[in-house]
Amino acid sequence: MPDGLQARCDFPMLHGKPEFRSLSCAPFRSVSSSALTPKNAEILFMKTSESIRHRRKSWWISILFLSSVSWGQQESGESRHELLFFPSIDTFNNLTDSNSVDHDSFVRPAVDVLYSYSGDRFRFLGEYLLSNEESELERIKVGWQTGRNSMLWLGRYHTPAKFWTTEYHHGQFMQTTITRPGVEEWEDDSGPMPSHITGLSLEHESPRAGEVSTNYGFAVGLGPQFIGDELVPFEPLDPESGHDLSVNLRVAYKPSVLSLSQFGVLTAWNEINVVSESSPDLADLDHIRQFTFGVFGDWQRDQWRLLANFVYFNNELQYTAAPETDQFVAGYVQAEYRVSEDWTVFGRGDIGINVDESPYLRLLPAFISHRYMLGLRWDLASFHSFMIEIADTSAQGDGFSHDDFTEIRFQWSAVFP
Amino acid sequence: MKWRPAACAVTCLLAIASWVDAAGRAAVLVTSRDCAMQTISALDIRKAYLGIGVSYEGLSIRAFRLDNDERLNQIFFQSVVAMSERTYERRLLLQLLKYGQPRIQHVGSAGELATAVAGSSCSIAYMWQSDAEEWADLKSIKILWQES
Repeated sequence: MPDGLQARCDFPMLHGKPEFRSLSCAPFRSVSSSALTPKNAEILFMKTSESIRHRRKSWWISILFLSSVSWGQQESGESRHELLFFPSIDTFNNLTDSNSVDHDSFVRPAVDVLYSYSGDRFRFLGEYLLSNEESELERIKVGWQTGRNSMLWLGRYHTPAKFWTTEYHHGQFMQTTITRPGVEEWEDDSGPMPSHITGLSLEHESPRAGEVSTNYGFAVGLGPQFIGDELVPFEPLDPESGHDLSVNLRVAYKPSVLSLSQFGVLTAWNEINVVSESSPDLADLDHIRQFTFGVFGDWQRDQWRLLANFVYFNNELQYTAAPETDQFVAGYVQAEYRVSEDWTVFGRGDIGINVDESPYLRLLPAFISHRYMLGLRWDLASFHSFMIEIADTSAQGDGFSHDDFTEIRFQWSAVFP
Repeated sequence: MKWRPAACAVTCLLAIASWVDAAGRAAVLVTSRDCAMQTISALDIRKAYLGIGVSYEGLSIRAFRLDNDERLNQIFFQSVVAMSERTYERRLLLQLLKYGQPRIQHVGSAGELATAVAGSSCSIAYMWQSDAEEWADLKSIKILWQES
């Protein structure tokens, strides 16, 4: 062990926070006993834990990246790299006096970095999102082409049971609108179902006669935990126990492989462990068993595009006293009309059945249960766009009260190179 | 003044020569000569250029594009993929974002294109027929467009 470092296996749990459990025996720099007050010790422990965690993350990223690249080079003489940047700047203005802190006006610059390495049958993909609110490794996975039209992936990826998420990922420029539908939101924006899982996934395309094809996506891995007022996905580079199983399936029918139109079904089974002590609302709630089944359609013809997705939720809330079952349907319909090559008008309605009475959704106060939105997109040059959206929105809010407000958003987004 | 008839004659000759050249101009799809593929359907060409897997006798068909010929690229967008350049580029970006699949490779000149195609068995590229005939390693397998 290097000088100045000592093993501390007897450090007590601080407030029972689960994130420190795996690091209770981690080495850290010794300090004099007079400086080690309980408060200092906590700060020191947190900083050291973070530092070790970041060092460990960097090592894992480096090892995974280098091994994947060298493996890929052994497999193929021809390899390709792609590096893309999706920058965006969002502004959100809440035009209604609202008491909710979840919906204050903001300006958010962000950049999504996508890296892909591709050999003959081997592939590596990483996606990192950086904004003034978060810095997160969103996807990191290695893939092996198991057949002519099949790909097996291992790593952290976006769950195939969410339509929008697997179409646009974090590439803001690629989606026509600024906002995502409520049911498609990320976990940290009160999304009601997992977006990220870590494990194995299989993608297969089955070509039919002519241009028709059917696509299958199956995934099994570790899903999120429920902590505070949101789902928290498993972090592969900072593994902790307490995450449970998530199984996902998506089947999509494409009338023509040359067009982007597709129709299909999505289903998922998620076992979500709850950290009860993280919020008073979660007291006595041990576990959530979530089943979802959805249908989606993306129809494109000439200047028109129609997108729709409806998901049925069945949540079993496993309270220690008595379990509670909760069922609702959440979805959206979005229409787009391309006025010219540069201008697109669009509108979307986020709607649902029983969403206002759902005890599960009451645990997600920022969940957008209803939104009626109109917008305009201007595509400037090949890879820049400006968008404006105005919407009447209803968020879940705390308890039984909903948070209704009118919002206006502007966004610039682009992709380089 | 005495040069005027000669200048007119030269101008007319050049105009006729360029018209004759343009009239015979054709854009063709080429592959390496060692590939047994004799032709390819328009659907498979479109698929290959949209990044959708197409193979010939177990070999994955890889597509290449030429960067610096505006007329040839116009023909490509109109006659091969049948979509605007912007729509086409976004289709490829979606494939990259979703599956990590690299975009179609661009090269800068007919010479580089010929080298790339010859070096990757059963890969395809589009070029002017007159350029294709200069490269012994390449063979033309389909006429994509011909000046009428």
